[in-house]
Parts: sequence; C-alpha cells; structure tokens
Amino acid sequence: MKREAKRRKREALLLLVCLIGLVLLFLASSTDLLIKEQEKEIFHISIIIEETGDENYVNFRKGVEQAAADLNVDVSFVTLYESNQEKQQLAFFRREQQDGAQAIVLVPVGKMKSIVEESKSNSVPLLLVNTEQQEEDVYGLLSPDYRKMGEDLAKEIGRDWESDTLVCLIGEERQSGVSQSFGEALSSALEEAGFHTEILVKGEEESLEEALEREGWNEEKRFVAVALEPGNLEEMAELLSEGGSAGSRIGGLYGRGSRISILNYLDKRIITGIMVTDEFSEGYLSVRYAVEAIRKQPSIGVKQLESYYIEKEDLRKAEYEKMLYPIE
Amino acid sequence: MERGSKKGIRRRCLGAALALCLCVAFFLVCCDKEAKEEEKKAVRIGVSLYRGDDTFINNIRTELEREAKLYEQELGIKIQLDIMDAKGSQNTQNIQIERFLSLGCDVLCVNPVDRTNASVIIDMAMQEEVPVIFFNRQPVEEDMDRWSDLYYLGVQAKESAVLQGSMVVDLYQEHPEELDRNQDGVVSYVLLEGENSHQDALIRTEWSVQTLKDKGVPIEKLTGGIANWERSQASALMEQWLNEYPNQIELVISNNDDMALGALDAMERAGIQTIQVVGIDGTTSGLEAVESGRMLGTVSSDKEQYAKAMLEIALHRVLGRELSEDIELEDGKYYQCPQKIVKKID
Repeated sequence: MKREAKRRKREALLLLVCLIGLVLLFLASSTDLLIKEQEKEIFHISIIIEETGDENYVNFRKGVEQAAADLNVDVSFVTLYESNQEKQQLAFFRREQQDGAQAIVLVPVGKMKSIVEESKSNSVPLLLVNTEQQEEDVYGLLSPDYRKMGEDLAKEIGRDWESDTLVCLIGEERQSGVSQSFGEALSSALEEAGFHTEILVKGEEESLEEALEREGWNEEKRFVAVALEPGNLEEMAELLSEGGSAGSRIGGLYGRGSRISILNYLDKRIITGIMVTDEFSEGYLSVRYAVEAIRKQPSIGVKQLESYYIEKEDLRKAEYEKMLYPIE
Repeated sequence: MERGSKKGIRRRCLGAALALCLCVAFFLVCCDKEAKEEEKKAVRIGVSLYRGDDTFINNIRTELEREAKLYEQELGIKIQLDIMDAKGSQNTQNIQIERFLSLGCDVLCVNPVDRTNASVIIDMAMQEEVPVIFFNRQPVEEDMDRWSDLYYLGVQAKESAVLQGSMVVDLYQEHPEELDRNQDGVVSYVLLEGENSHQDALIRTEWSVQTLKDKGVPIEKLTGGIANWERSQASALMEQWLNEYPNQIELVISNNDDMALGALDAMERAGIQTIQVVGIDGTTSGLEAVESGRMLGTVSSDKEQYAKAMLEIALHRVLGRELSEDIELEDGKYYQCPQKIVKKID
C-alpha cells in the first residue's frame, strides 16, 4: 500500500517535471524570455530638403531608399510648405529632432546658424547636402561643386557659340543658394570669355512666357538661354516645344538637372546640353554617412561629387545611362 | 471547525488579493491606452502603389502629398507619408506592407497589384490592427467583408463609361459629320481596353458602347484589344489597326487617358488627325491633350477629392476625427469619388 503510494507520488513528480520542462521549452522557442533574439537596430534619419516637392530628387530618393533597405534605416523625407523658406525649415528641423531623429540630412535654404547650434546642443548629427556653406560643427558636407559646374558649362557654351552671342540667364525671385553660386560662376566665366550676359528674373506668380514678354526678350535678337533652376529649364523646353515666339529667337538652351522630362527634352534636342551629377549615389551616400554619424564614426569633412556635361549623344552611353536612369 | 474557518478566511483573502490585482492591472492598461492616445502628435501612413509609372496613380500620389501638407498645417500634427512603388509585383507589395507595419504605420493605403489576392495584406493588417484603405483596384467582396476596418475608395466605373459615351453622343447629335467622316451612316470604332483583371475595364467597355447604342448612335466595332492601361501598348495596337483598316477608323474609345494618348501617338506618326479619341481619368497629360484639341474629351475624376477622402478616412480612423459632410461612406466602407466630363469647350 505504502509502496503503491510512493510510486504514485514519483509518477506525479515525474509528470510535474515533464510539464515544467515543456513550459520551459515553449518559453524558449516562442518568446525571447530565455533566449533573446538579436534585435536589428533601426536607425531613424530625417531628410529635409529646400523645396516643396521631390521632382528634383527622384534619383536621389531612389538612392535613399536603397540605402535605407541595405542599412536598416527608417527615413522621414520632409518637403517644405513653401520653397526656400528658412523659418519653415528650422521649424521642421526642430520637429524632426523632437520626433526622435537620430541624424538629420539637410539641404539648407539659407544661412543656418541656428540650425547648426541646435543640432550641436541636442547632439543630433547634421549632414549638409547640396550646399556650399561649410560649417565646422556639422558631421559633414556632401555636394557637387556648383561654382565649378557653372564654369564648366560656360566653357561648353564657349565651344558652341561665338563670343559676341547674347546669353540670357533665367533665375528666380527667391533663388536657392546653389543656383546663385552656379549662376554667379557661369556669368563671370561667360563675361570673361567675351559673352554678353543678362539676367531674367522670373516672378513668383509668373510663367516664364510672361517673364520673357515683360522683359521684351521676344523682340530681341537671337540669344542663348541658360536656366539656373531645373524647373525653369523644363518650363523653357516646354515653351520651345510648343513653338512660341520666343522659340524662334533662342539659339540654344542649357541648364542643370536630370528630371526625366529634362532628359526627354534633351533626347528630342530641344535642350542643347545639361550639367548633371550622380544623384542616386548622393542619396545613398547621405544615408550611409548619417548612419556612420549615429555610430559615432569620425566626421567625413567635405565630400565633393563630380558633375558632368552631357548632350543628346551621351544619353545612351553606358556610364551616363546607369547614372541617369538608375535601376532600383 | 476552527481549521475550516481559517481555511475559509485564507481563501477569501486570496480571492480579494486576486480581485485587487485584476483591478490594478485593468487600471494600468486603461491608463496606458489613454496616455498613448493623448500623445498622438503624428500620423504615419504607409502608401503602396501597384505601379508608380501609371499616370493616373501618379496624379493621385501628387494630390495625396499636397493634401497631407494642408492637413498637417490645419491640424498642427505631423503627417508622414511613406510611399512605395510595388512595380507590378504582389510579392514586393506584401514585403512593403510588412515593412510599413514593422515601422509602426498607423494606417495603410493600398493600391493592390492583384485585387483578387489581397488576403495576405488583410491578414497582416488584421494581426496588427492597422486599418487598410484600398484604392483604385477593388479587392473582391469576400475579402472586403472580412474586417470592419477595411475601406475602398475609387470611381464608379459605370458612371465613367456612361459619361464617356454621352460625350460622343453629344458630338454626333450636334455635328454627325465630325464622327461619320465617310458619310456611310455608321460610326466605325476601335476599342482600347485596360487589363482584364481590373474590375473597371469590363464595365467601362460595356457601358460606353451601350450608351452609344441607347442614344441611337449607329456604331460598328472594327476591332479592339487589351493594352493594359499602357500608352506604349496602345500605341503599338493603334499602329497595327491603322494599317489593317486604312481610312476606316472614325472613333477610338479608350478605357483610360494613357491608352488614348498612345492611340494619338500612333495617329501622329501616321499623319492622321481626323479620328476622334475619347479617354477616362482626366490625367494631367490627358487634360493637356483635350486642351490642345488633340483629344475630343475625357471623364475626369476629382483627384483632389480622391486624395482628401483618403486622408479623411485615415485621420478618422487614427485620430477619431469626424468625416467631412461631403464624404459619405456606403455600407460604412466604400467611397465613390465624383467625376465630370472635360471637353475642349470646358
């Protein structure tokens, strides 16, 4: 009788041990209570640009998305409510910091002393893109050399046209910093080469056609047009393709940017030549450097991207095709 | 006896302690929920597009981004749109949805690649309790009925088709010679259809032709083909038809603007300007073609309202905001966007 009770007790104990073992096995396999699964760190990066849309950042964004997938990054891409508004950019910068951005990639609108100071005091690394403003207290600067870009384009125009040709530089009332640098370098290089340059400033609420009409460019002699902003280059090309009165007076159209529409106009020879950079790589690198900044890697300093002059014939060359039409 | 009462007291104490624990746990859960609701200062919306190069979808995307900014300014909260292109692959789209959910999106806006295969997306969203607003490509009813937090936003295909048909009817009644170029008493047409798996393609085809018949326009179908909503495919088909039916085609009825523009491309290459072309969608390039007189007209959906409705539903679900008066959901989950005819005269 006693032995029977003992056996039963042992069996119950064995059953209990088995049960505990099973529970432990279940915990080990289905939860990270015992064996912790290695968690992938997600980096939170904000990219704040200076424009209201991403039309000029299509290839850049493709690079950003690729880097985000490769490096496990959660990217918040922020555009402004109004282009080139310094105060708005500062407000977005503050908001992104508060929302937990670990690093910020910024295409600055203007002088950004307050942004730099805030990023320094909150120890959020700041990477500047597409600017010429060199700041000591930022993690780094990644940008093409817009002055050199202007000078290179002036050389190409010098090759295509006689030096007494009139060149119209198309700018905007509220011009971005890089367009200013590009325009200044282009203008002085052209003047040096003997060209006569004039600036056409397009008003905020004005179309390019209206601006040309207002300044009497439709009645002038033949001229070469250079758009300092990609948006104006596209608009001018559209005007030429429609065959308006200005079209008959424009000998050649140049500019910068690599939106698909600009490349299509170049392909149709409506645009004579453009300056381009590898925007996909710029996007990819900006995320990569931001991650390095979060990982407390040493500053990258100033990294300059190459720029290239291309015409219709170059569009199908392997090196440019890969750069201008990147496969995601 | 004493032993029994002691046991009873102990049991009662244990019961009371358990009840107290439950109350504390319930209170803590409620507090946590309230705190989470209170701190909602940003809304994150994951948007997956079936194909980013579709002109109509691209127009919707642009409007969505614009409207999001307006709501952001109006409400003073951050609205983050994560937009991804599935490039025509359902598998890619499923991965994107998974990523959106792991990034903590509050709501998903999905333009499904395969509308008959939305169950994977619904399963993932249901598990995470994230509402899904499908748009443009309607999942099958069985899927839509699986959960109360599924919505669909689109345009009524029959209405688009009837409006498209009536545009042609008007022209025939006012200037029959503009359509019946060879004066044989019959309008000979070709038909460009969207992909056959899309719910709208079949309805648009059926009802635009039916409207012409109902209103007494004498018509004869020369041929038709599926160009999958694409300009290039439509252009190739039209080129072929222009060779097969020289001087016979008088009207091109297209299920969307992109294919109508493809037909116009082929006509331009062949130097033909006499064929009337009608489209649907009112895309930017479609409206430009109408404006320049290359296309007879299009049925334009109100893209601003489309994007607004999508954001309103999203914010309604996330923030509990009331929907605007002009956004009425049928059966609590369907919204049909208004549309109108756009002709050169407009």
